[in-house]
Amino acid sequence: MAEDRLEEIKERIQNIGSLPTLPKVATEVISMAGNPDVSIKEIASIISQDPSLSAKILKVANSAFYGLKQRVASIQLALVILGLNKIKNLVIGISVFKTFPIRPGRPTFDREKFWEHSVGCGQIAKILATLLGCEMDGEEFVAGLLHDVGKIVLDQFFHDEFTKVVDLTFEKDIPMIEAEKEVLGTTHAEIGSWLAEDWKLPLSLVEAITYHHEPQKAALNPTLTSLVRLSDLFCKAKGIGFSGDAQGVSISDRIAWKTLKAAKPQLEELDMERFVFDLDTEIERAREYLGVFSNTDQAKEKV
Amino acid sequence: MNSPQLSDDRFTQIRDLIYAESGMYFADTKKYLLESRLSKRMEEVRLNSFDEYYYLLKYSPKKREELSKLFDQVTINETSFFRNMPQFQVFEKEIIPEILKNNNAGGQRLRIWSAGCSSGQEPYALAMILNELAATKAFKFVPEIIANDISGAMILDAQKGRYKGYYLRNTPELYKSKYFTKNSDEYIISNAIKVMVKFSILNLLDEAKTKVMRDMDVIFCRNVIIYFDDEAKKKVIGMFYEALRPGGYLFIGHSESLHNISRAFKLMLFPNAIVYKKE
Repeated sequence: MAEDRLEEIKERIQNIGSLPTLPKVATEVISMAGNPDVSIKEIASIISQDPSLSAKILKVANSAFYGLKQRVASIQLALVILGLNKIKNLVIGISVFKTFPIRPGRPTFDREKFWEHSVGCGQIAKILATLLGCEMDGEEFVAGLLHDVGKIVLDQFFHDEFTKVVDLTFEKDIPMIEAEKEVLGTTHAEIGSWLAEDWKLPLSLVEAITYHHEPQKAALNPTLTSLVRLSDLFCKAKGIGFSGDAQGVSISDRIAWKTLKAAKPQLEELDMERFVFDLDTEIERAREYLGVFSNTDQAKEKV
Repeated sequence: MNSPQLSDDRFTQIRDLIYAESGMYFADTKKYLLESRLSKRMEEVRLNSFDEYYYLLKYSPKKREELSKLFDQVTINETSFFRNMPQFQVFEKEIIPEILKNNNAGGQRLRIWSAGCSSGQEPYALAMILNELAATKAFKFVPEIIANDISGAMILDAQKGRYKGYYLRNTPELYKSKYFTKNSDEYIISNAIKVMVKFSILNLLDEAKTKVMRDMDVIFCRNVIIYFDDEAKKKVIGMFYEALRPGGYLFIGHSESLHNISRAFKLMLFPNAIVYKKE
């Protein structure tokens, strides 16, 4: 039944126009990164063809995001120092803002707030991964950044229905995903999953987007999906985001917590209160990254 | 004149004395804090050295009186009404409705404990919120707010219920106009709110007195146990656990943590507030 609704929604999107695409260079980098025969030099030359992307990569590479001690002056050097996987994830993170630029939001769906939540989620995932010693070359950051991407698609193609979803979330004080099921018969996770597959994103990323509300279903990389789920909850606890529901959450009862703890037992030792308290600084930092990734700084300068 | 110096040895002695009498613990890193608070007290009793002051605390016939004055000085907190608003919002919008929904006997008693209430800002703020909730008639309940502090001076101030405007800087306009009367530079709390709160002096480590605190629905104890060492913290938090009803909640200061203190509670994350639940 839900399958049918999803198909119907896919059809409607295809009738209206086409699914938003990632910039070609990003798709190429993703595919080249999966091919062991491709050299760093070839990837550098592909990226360098896009001056705006290259400039952003260098900007992030030289920011506190990686905390490198030396200055990185070329894409090739960035690839050597940071490694192919980190650059690939960075390219995905930057490119998504080209597809879905930040623009002043409508009252029901504020894209600025949306990205603030997403980048906050990415940053929390990054910090948690660092604390637990399971960094994944920035994939955890990008997964946090992209986990809700289906919401943008819903807002873009089904604006009226999506507005109803938001209203219902507040009215009934229910999680947004429940309201989506009620109004649309599908969810932002399903739509996001479809988009991620269409973009040929790495499979573990697709999985994290698909199952970030049901981490027990993740099979490929349950740690990544659980990280994203927990970061999402922490973001909510910090009031970053726009979901209407404000119910209390017991993190340690969550499947994501249990899954992550099974993989990383030291999670038990996390001083949760301290961690949540210190997140303020991280969220501030995430806002800065949002500026760098999306180039809103420059946009503001022009204005 | 040079200001008196507090030697490390003397600091340890005074610190241990305060700890034995009150449970408040000044770690070595908090020496400066204790030094400045003791200095104020010394000026008032006109003593010039920490040695003399220590003898006063230890051997003088007036030592009880002086200790109590010292506690007043040591526990002075910056406490405005509605300090850390998200906690009050969660209390009003989530916690109280949940408690009343789960025990909807009709006309039920709602027991709130403000532990370490300083000069009354916290329990009065809670009283205002409960008064507003009662007025909506969405719930029927009889509120009972118990508030106490180790410092007698604080309790006297609380009972007076007069505050400089500075303490109302976080107070919503509605509450300000409804529950305070302005008299020159002071705001006086209304009688309707005053009668809702029962004040008393209490040392949280005094087991004989705390064991009668039972059947609490919500306990607020914010920025109080920061003065305690781990052993005293564990004791007090364990006592709160006993004092709460199942389903009750504990609020601590928003920068405090029960990590390594207690695992008895379930930690609940609310928007910008962490609350501990007794299941």
